[in-house]
Amino acid sequence: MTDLPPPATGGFGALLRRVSPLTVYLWLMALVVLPNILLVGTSFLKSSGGVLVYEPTLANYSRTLASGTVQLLILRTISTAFAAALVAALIAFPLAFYVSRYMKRWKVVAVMLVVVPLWISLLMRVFAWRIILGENGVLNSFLVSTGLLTEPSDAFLYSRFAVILTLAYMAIPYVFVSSYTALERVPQSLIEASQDSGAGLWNTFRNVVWPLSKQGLAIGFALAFLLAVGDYITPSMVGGLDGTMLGMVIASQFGMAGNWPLGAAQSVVLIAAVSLVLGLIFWLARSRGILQSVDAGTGAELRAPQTLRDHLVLWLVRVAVVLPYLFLYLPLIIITVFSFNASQIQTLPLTGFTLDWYVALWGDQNLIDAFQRTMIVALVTVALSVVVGIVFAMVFAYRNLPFSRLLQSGIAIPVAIPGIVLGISIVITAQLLGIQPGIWRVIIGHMTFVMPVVMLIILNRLQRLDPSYVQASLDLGADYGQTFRHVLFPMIRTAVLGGALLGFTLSVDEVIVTLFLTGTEPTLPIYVWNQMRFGFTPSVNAIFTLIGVASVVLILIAMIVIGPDRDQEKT
Amino acid sequence: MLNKSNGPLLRLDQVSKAYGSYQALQPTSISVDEGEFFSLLGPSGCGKTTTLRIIAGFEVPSGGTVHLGGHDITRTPPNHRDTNTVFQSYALFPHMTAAENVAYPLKMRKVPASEIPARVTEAIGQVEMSKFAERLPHEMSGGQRQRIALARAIVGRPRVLLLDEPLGALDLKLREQMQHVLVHLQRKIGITFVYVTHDQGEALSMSDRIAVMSGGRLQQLATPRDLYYQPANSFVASFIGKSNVISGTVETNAGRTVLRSGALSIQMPDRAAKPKAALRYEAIAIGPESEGRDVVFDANVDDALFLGNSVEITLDLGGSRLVAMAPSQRDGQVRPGDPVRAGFNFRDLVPLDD
Ligand SMILES: Nc1ncnc2c1ncn2[C@@H]1O[C@H](COP(=O)(O)OP(=O)(O)OP(=O)(O)O)[C@@H](O)[C@H]1O
Ligand SMILES: [Mg+2]
Repeated sequence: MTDLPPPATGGFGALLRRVSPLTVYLWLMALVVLPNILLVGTSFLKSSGGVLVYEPTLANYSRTLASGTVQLLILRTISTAFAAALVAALIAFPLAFYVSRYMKRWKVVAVMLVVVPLWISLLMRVFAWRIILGENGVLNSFLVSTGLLTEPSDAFLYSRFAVILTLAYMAIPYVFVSSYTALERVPQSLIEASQDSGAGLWNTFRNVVWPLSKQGLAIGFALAFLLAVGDYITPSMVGGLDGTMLGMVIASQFGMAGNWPLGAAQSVVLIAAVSLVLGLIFWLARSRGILQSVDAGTGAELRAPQTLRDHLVLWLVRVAVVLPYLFLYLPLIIITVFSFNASQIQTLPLTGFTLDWYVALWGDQNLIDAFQRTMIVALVTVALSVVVGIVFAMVFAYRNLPFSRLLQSGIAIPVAIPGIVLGISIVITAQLLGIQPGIWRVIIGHMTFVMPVVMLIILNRLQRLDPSYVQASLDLGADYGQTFRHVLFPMIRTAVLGGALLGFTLSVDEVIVTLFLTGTEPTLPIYVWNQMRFGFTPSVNAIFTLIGVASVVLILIAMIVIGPDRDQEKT
Repeated sequence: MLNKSNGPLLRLDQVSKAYGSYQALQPTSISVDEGEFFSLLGPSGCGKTTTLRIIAGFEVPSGGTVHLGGHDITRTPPNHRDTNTVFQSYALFPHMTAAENVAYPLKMRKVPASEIPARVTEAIGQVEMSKFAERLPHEMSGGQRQRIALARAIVGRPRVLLLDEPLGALDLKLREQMQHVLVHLQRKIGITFVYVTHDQGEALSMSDRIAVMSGGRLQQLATPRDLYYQPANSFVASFIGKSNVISGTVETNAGRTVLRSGALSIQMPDRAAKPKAALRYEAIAIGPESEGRDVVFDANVDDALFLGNSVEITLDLGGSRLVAMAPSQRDGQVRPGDPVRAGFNFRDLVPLDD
């Protein structure tokens, strides 16, 4: 990293230069340090009839840790989340391996197809699983009609199995993307060198591919684990009593039970347990050596099948590749199908075709309001995050801040703590600072995790750029503002856009944090959540089908229009 | 060994490779003898790497067969071939130390664990890297990585060692040093080398035989001396060293054969002269040196390029041009515009096929 000289002329850049390091510290203080201190602080307070009493006590911890039920719950939460992450890894990693190493023409499509489900509402996907697993659901109908079961079973839904399955389903795209990225970085020449040394497929995988990609898998696994462990929506929808998780208990302390200090203490305990597990995962995935990217990994050629056995293996592999896609798309198909189904009730058999639910959308003012609110929140969150993200990324890339890595990690903390904990820490902070529930609370809440994502994507791009571009521009007499506009921005714009798109997706679909922050004005996911609990109309299927189709079309257009960075260097 | 009496160790028979509709390698036949230092030489994109990868087993040829020691290995996967490769990018496993990298092929080939340490130490010693055995690849310089890659490739004592521009990434000094290491090592361990390079100097100085390739086609296969003095066509003539290509017409009248090319007309001693011939720069003598040559002519100096130990002189023969290379002298340099006398001998005039 280079520390840049003062610009020849003033302008926007000079101002930026003076202001920016301060804003980094401010952000860190206000949105990371303060909420967490307040959370920990609250856990040492007393609560009396729903009101905080400022009197230090350890009672919340002793109550949390002494209770056999809570202990069991913590254990179950951790093991459920771990199992979900494991299932996701077992499905996503082999798929990522196949796509990365053996696909050529359809590679991009194969990757996009795994990611697309992320753009479809989380709640809807959970709900779809309810339709699949329920007593009158798709699975039971199938099993009974094929004669595998004599009568529908109620064992699928409202069980730990259902929770693990659904959480794993949610996590697959994340594990896939991070594994895929790591696998793509393993140079083909290393694999050839291993074969050349006499290693067969298995030994090459075990000794070369695995050591070089396990960290990518670990990151995906950790992400999956975090998402699962901080989720209280999924277990409450498909889990029943058996599937209860700690998040639900914590959430109730900030809702009906109204005991904030106890909820805070439980959160702190959860974070401690999660940190232990994550520490263990990364310890297991530690590796040595630095991969020099001399040549990128290109696809390997599958040898043309010769024997009958080869043909058999090839077919097995093909089936094994198609299955995860079926798994990923089944719920989405269900949503779409039921958006055209003429019944109010979401069960099989289908009763007939209708467009009523689409028509009804136009009349539902609450839904339209919620949709507009969601768009406003997402757009404002993304716009602010992009501006702040660019400034911060430039600060980290071009200024020698002391403890730069530590500061970056600090800013990214909200991404890495369970959603439930992030939600309540922001509630506590907002309450203290007097920020009322409503749109601004939600926007600030969303920015805590959207901005770091945008910033890290841009920073990653900046750090791969040759710093001499900037120096050349300054050398040619441009000031910082001009340099940014004419040199830097054109080279990072795909990163900016990618970050913005990802941030938008994250914000639009957020439930777990948002639920704590909205008051009486729900965003779309919250509106749907309320619908699901208090009477559901299939119009919701219709709106999410529309959103799904629209986002896929938008992404495709964006990919075609934007094109690659104007930059010869490979990323 | 069996194949000693039965012919070459490695035999490529009409091997070709097409990528889609693009023919990267035309049907090519090459034989390499046991213990030979064999080079594939040619400009970028001519199909050298493709040929090497077919031998190593990373590509299956579109046509033709590959035999190693009398066995057809055309479709044998790389891990079952008795060949090892030194990759241009070294391809050292970044998570293994130098010693672990070198031990890898032994472990994969199920060499008894008790033998491995000694053989690793020996191989690392052969490339003079004993001090670096415990380093990870990123803790070594390019040249050091290169040596470890070499050690990893020879430790399994393959019958053929394949090297793809192994010195391409090194600077000039290190390159020359490594050339010596390679030649020395090859003599010592007696493994057959197939060496890919686009550097003609490297190929000439190291190889027993060289296959010159261009555009996916084998142009000539010969010893370095023969390539230099008897190039088969104008491509080889101009690619190996520096040659004038004289092309014109052959006229025979009154029992005399004359090759005419521009202002030059050469009375050939041979009746079967071809209309195209190569003439090395250094075969043309300038000034008093030209005295007594078979062909002597007058010309003007068009340009003189000082190259240190020699001077490259472009001669103008009233329209056509020839380039001569003369040893440089402290005094008496030639200048553009100077009239000079020049000459060469018939035997330096190499008839070309195309
Ligand atoms: N996988 C491939 N797909 C399509 N074309 C290829 C592929 N590999 C090589 N080629 C083409 O085949 C030709 C020969 O390539 P090859 O790598 O053998 O060249 P080379 O002689 O090793 O060149 P260099 O000295 O630059 O390494 C080139 O024109 C190249 O573009
Ligand atoms: Mg090559």
